[in-house]
Amino acid sequence: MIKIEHLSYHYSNGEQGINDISIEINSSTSLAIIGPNGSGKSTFIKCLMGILKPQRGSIILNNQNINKLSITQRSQHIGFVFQDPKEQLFKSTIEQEIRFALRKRKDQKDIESQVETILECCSLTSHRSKHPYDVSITQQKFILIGCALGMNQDIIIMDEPTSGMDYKGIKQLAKIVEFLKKEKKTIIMVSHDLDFISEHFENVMIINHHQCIYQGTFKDACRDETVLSQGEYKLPDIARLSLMAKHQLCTTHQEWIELWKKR
Amino acid sequence: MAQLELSNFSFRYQGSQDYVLKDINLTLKSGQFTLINGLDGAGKTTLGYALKGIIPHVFEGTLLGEQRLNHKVFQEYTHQELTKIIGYCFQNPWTQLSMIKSTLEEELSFSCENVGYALEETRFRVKAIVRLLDLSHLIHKNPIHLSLGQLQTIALGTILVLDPDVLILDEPTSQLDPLTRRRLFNHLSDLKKQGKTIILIEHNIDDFLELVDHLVLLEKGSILDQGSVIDVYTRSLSIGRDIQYPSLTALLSTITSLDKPILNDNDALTILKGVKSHD
Ligand SMILES: Nc1ncnc2c1ncn2[C@@H]1O[C@H](COP(=O)(O)OP(=O)(O)OP(=O)(O)O)[C@@H](O)[C@H]1O
Ligand SMILES: Nc1ncnc2c1ncn2[C@@H]1O[C@H](COP(=O)(O)OP(=O)(O)OP(=O)(O)O)[C@@H](O)[C@H]1O
Ligand SMILES: [Mg+2]
Ligand SMILES: [Mg+2]
Repeated sequence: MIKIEHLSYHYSNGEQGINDISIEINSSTSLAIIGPNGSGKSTFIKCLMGILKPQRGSIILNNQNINKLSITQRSQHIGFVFQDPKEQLFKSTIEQEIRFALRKRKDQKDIESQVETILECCSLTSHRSKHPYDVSITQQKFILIGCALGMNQDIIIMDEPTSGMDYKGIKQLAKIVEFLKKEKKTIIMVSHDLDFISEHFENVMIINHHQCIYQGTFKDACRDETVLSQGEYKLPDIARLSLMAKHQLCTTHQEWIELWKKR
Repeated sequence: MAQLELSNFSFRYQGSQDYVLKDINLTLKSGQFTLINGLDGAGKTTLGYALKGIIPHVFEGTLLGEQRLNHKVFQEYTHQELTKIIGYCFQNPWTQLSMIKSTLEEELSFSCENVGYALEETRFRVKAIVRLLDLSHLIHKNPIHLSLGQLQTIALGTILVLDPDVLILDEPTSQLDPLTRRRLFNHLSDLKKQGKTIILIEHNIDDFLELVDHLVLLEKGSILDQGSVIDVYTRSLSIGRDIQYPSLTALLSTITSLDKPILNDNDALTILKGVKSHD
């Protein structure tokens, strides 16, 4: 479990990043973070990663305060995908990037087949010898996702992975998220894409003006109109249509198809 | 008012093996709102560059065919003239900003000065755009102190402030929150009424379909189809093309077969009323 208490961060120019955020994230659950531009989502994520050192509050991971741990130490537990992938890429080919991530694995058996599996599931096989800067932003994000799969940490955090992705990329990411859920990982993702969140995420936290203004299940957030509308978010299509047509709330395709099976 | 045209246009970047754009024929009429959609790497940005004249002015390569603005080939214009008529918002907001200015207000003003607006005019325009995008709390900030979405909004601002006759926007909403997207929608809707020629490259098609007169589907450098939204998606449904459909269309096609695209809630509900529960 990750327990975050009274976390605050302000930038060196005095700018408020986040203000007094507390939340508990249970192991093997999925949490989506939404909120307006500039509300503090990336700042929050960067505090979790250790890129920013919060001035107040604590982050407790499995009963250990990780505030003092470096980024490298944290990366044993947590995999990250930044909002701007360039900040994270430093090898000269994509394959090397993946191999570097796998190097840190305890179990060094089958490394070769793992490299292939990861490249394949991130649709990077044909780009393996390219420089990470020579592929599209979507592909750069998949490199980072591939690295996280390689490191196999218990927690994976992604900052707006779907932004700028085409629909096939999003489908690919969906498969990976479902795979991570099956592997009992804890998944934290920042996104504006409520259709994606609805389908794959259990819980949601809304940040507005640097503070957490809602936390709970995504379904509950859909049930109370005032919640999502605070960030000008609209109900996902699937929820809106199921409510309008059948007065029932569906948030996933599976529920949606079930709904139309009933007599 | 301005019309853009590509005829038998092909382009290969210096260093790339294949043509990235292949025999493109495209006419963007004055006042028309065009949406360009296609997969990652399809050539959307390159097409945008061709329409703006960044190709061949900035990127070198092999070029076939013609680019025309108001029936005159691009070669008859200076780069400066094209810049003034055609505004381009880059996919990456960092490319957009000069980064030599220390506040956003200066950045917005710089954009105007660059195309030669006088001081008074510049001030007026900057003020209007700050109001439009609700940037007043940001204008004294340094661009390096922004969130990515704020940065993208500013990048968009540096083009909108010029109010060009042709506006090419390359994935302008990828980092934007719903409110800012709505603001952009409203503004584009106004610009369209004023007769501006607008070209939008987007993956978030649903937010803008209402405005689209002309839809272009790009696949591996070629135009797969083009026409009105209804026509293109109707054709695509009838032959079962594997493309990105509007989200309501995609959702409804999971439970019933569609012969035309569904673009709004009313049409969706009508279809749903007719859906027989299946087992
Ligand atoms: N400067 C360049 N030199 C060589 N090849 C390039 C250059 N820029 C783009 N390409 C190649 O041209 C093709 C089309 O790229 P383009 O950026 O136009 O695609 P896109 O549809 O905009 O993709 P995305 O959705 O990722 O933005 C790609 O294969 C890309 O690798
Ligand atoms: N490096 C920085 N220096 C100073 N202030 C910053 C810096 N980065 C972000 N900020 C400010 O901190 C606040 C929170 O920014 P943050 O990047 O966390 O927002 P966000 O919710 O991720 O937004 P977006 O949706 O645009 O990515 C904003 O007001 C922003 O202007
Ligand atoms: Mg952010
Ligand atoms: Mg592009």
